[in-house]
Amino acid sequence: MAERTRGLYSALGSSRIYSAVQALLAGRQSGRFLLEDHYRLPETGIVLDVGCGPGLMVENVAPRV
Amino acid sequence: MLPPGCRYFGFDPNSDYIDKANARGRGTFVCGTMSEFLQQYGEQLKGAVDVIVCCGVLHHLTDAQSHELLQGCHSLLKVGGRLACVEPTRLIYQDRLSSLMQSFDRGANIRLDLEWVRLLQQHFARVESRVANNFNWIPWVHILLTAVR
Repeated sequence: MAERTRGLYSALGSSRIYSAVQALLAGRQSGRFLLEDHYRLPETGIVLDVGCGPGLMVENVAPRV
Repeated sequence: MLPPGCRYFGFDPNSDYIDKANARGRGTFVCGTMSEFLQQYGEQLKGAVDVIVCCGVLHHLTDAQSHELLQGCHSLLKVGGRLACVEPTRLIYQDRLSSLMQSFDRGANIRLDLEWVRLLQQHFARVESRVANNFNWIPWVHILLTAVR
């Protein structure tokens, strides 16, 4: 991995803090509609979330059905 | 929320994240990288995945690691399946504020928009990109990449 993990960055290793940051960035953004369109999920099928974190990102941005 | 007919898989190298994801019980999650995921589910999911989402991952990876990941994505996607990535991007002409903010990003491989497209084009014939600088209140530039197998 090529990333910073020391100092303040180490806090992001906590799933609770990471979830909060994800929700802040993905859940309440003005460009949310762009992300929803981008992530368009099928009604049925298989979805793979690469670097899924606590497994919340897809739930945060997937269009509500 | 996730459509009820979808089977949701995920992987992440951080065990704390995966513990939390598994505790929610809404999918199948593997602690590790693409190679560990392929070891466990590669046979089962080869050519069967409809959509792969990859949000803010590739800018944490070197070129070699990115190629390994994208190769895995290509093998897992069904024909016509889609890889959807969102990454921070640099631009040749970029405002100083977003440039400065992005320099604090945890990932050390924020590429230029053209470099992102070229990276995906080495694995997928059809790649589309859109650049957005108004996603949220933080001055930041994102690129939305879609690759179709």
